[in-house]
Amino acid sequence: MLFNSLSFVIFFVIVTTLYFLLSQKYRWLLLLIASCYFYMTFIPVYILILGFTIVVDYFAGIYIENARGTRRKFFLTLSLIANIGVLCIFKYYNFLNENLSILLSHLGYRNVIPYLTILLPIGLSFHTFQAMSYTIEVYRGNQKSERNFGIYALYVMFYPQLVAGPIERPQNLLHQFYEHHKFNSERVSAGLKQMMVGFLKKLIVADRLSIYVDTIYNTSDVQSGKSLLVATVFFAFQIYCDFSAYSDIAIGAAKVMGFDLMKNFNRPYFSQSVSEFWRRWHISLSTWFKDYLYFSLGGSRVKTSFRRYLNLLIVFLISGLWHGANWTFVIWGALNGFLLIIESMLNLPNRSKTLWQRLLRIIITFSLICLTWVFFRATSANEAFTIVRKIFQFKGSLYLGNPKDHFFYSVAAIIVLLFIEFMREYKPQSFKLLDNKSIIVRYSIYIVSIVLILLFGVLDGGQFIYFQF
Amino acid sequence: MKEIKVFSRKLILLMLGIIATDVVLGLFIHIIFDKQKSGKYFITTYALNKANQDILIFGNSHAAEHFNTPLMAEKMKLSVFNFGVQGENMLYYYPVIESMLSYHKPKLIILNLDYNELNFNSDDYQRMAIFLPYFHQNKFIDSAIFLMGQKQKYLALSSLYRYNSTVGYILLNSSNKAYNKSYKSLGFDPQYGNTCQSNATTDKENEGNKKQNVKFDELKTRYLLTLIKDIRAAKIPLVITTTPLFTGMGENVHRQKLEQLLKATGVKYWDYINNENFKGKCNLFTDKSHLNKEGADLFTNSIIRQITESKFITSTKAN
Repeated sequence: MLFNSLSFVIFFVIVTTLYFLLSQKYRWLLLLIASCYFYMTFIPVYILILGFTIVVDYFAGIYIENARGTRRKFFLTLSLIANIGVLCIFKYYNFLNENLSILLSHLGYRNVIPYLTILLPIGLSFHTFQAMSYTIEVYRGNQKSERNFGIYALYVMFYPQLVAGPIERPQNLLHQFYEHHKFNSERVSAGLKQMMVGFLKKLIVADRLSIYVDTIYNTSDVQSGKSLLVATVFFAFQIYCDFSAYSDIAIGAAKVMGFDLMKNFNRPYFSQSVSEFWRRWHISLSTWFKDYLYFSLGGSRVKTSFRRYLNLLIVFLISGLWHGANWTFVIWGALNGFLLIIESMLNLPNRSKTLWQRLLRIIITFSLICLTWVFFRATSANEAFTIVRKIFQFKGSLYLGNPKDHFFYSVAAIIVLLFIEFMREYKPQSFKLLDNKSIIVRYSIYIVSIVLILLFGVLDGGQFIYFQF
Repeated sequence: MKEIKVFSRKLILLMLGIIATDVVLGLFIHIIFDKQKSGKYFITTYALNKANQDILIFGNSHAAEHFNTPLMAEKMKLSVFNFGVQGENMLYYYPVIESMLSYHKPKLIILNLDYNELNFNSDDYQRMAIFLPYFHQNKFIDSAIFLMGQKQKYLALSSLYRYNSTVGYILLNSSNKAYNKSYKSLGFDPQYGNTCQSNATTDKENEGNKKQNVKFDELKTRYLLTLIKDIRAAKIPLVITTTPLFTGMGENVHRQKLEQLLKATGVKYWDYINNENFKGKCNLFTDKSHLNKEGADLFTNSIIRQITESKFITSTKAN
């Protein structure tokens, strides 16, 4: 069940209505059943995998809390092995096996290990990380183990953020399932507005851009450098709008029911450095890696700069791999890691003060990020390198698509998006649309938004990019 | 409870505002939509409501760009119109021709089909979005819209949704400046340039020789048979054509399927795929399957000769 589908709208209305009609005692049960149903609309049998990791982590949390000494680490390790094991089998088995085949064939041997024909369970990477953060926080003593199995299951499966985040922390989310959320019209309005922003970004910007991006990238061998450059820039906005839209809809849907999920994006393309970009992009994942991997490796408190850079690189290589079982994602991660290392070596100030310096740094950062997106979008490393080479050669004419007016819709969508984001970044107080004090302005914006979706939205139910992770 | 009531009232008010805007703005766009003077919607509107010519030509870009209707009109001294629309297929021709038959009886219908016309292609169903602005015009149109999916029944109730992704196109075609695909050109969409500089010789058309993954569309087949039957019942002469290909084509399952079906119905079929006047002549093509203006003129003259010789229309006065 995709967020941008009629069935989700109906599902959301029914669940939310029942949520407020039910007494507090039964609300968690409703949400758990709804979340199970939501998950099972994708591939029903995979709920067993989710169930397995939930059972393992539920008991691991209790045993970790009750145990002493090295036994605590033992139970934590078991939990992590179970979670990472499931991830490896479903996500990385065939990738690892394929690379083993290549290696063995170079050595003159044949690989006899069979491939598995299995589909990746939806949202596996997200809920696995969320579950792991629970057992790690219990181990660290920052979170008490959850004794109510249903509540714990709901923490992992909470439907707004089940398939593509934000990746929540137990300290933030678990206690909220015990709190009584009364109907609050202001909060419900805020939640619905955030969902609407998500739908606007997804339907009008992301899915519109994807038409051109897919056309160009799927035939990249015959496309010109100019077209590939434009498609790459389009992809930068497509992936931002697609992913942040999902987060907006997830956060908004949770907010309607009274739950506060963490912010996941903070206008990342206004970053003045790659390190700032990673503080603004997919915040829940980057903080997860920082707190559980980077700091565990020693973070920046290690003795040598070399070790610090190595830690950075390891984190980004694994982050790349988290995104997908393909060398393109590993290269994408490595590129980001190297860019951060170079920035660290150059010791640039966090932000520039003059307008021109700021603009220049924003453009440079955006260009570097776009370069990394080529590897994220391409289907193979060879293809990515070819695309980069063609972009730099900048030959050939620009393909405007067919029909041409759709290309101009895409450009217009980016311009409007940039304008709104610019105003929200630099003049938030003077630019209030959805939060305007005047009811006429607010209602006009709501109506204009719906009109824009109906007239310019791509309404054939395109899937969210991050669902594949 | 009071808060819920107040909130619900505001929500209902908002929804009423949205519905009112949808209706009013939809009406406004519809007025501009009807004023288009060129383009695919102009052609479709004209076919559904106003066709009155002696000879009507239907098809996709291979019809729109290959049948020089002003030339036909001049030489045959008959009224002709080209209703070819780029990218369309049997799922489009059927409702349009059936709608046209309800109010007009031309002297001849020419239906241009591709060799793989009867293949199944899921994209062809999504192309039925072209009919959204004509929702509720007649049962053929509505059935075509519902081929996109049953939820269209509800989405198409929104006046604005019917014009989704068309506003720019409508505005571009509302001026009187365009010649191609307009009343001035009698629907003809001439193309210029040729393929002599590029390497358009790759014989991808012979991919049809591969038997695997060939899936025919039963609905398209049924539509074609029904069209042939209904046109015959209206006592209107019908000719099916397939326009030339730069590389020509050998026998393959797609062509065989179409040829067998047309042979079984006894309908006249003029197949130009391997015509020697066009095969290999790069100066006549803009790409592997589309003729330029020069190629279109040559093709049209050939069609005029065949129509005259076949005596379909006894009142033609072709040169």
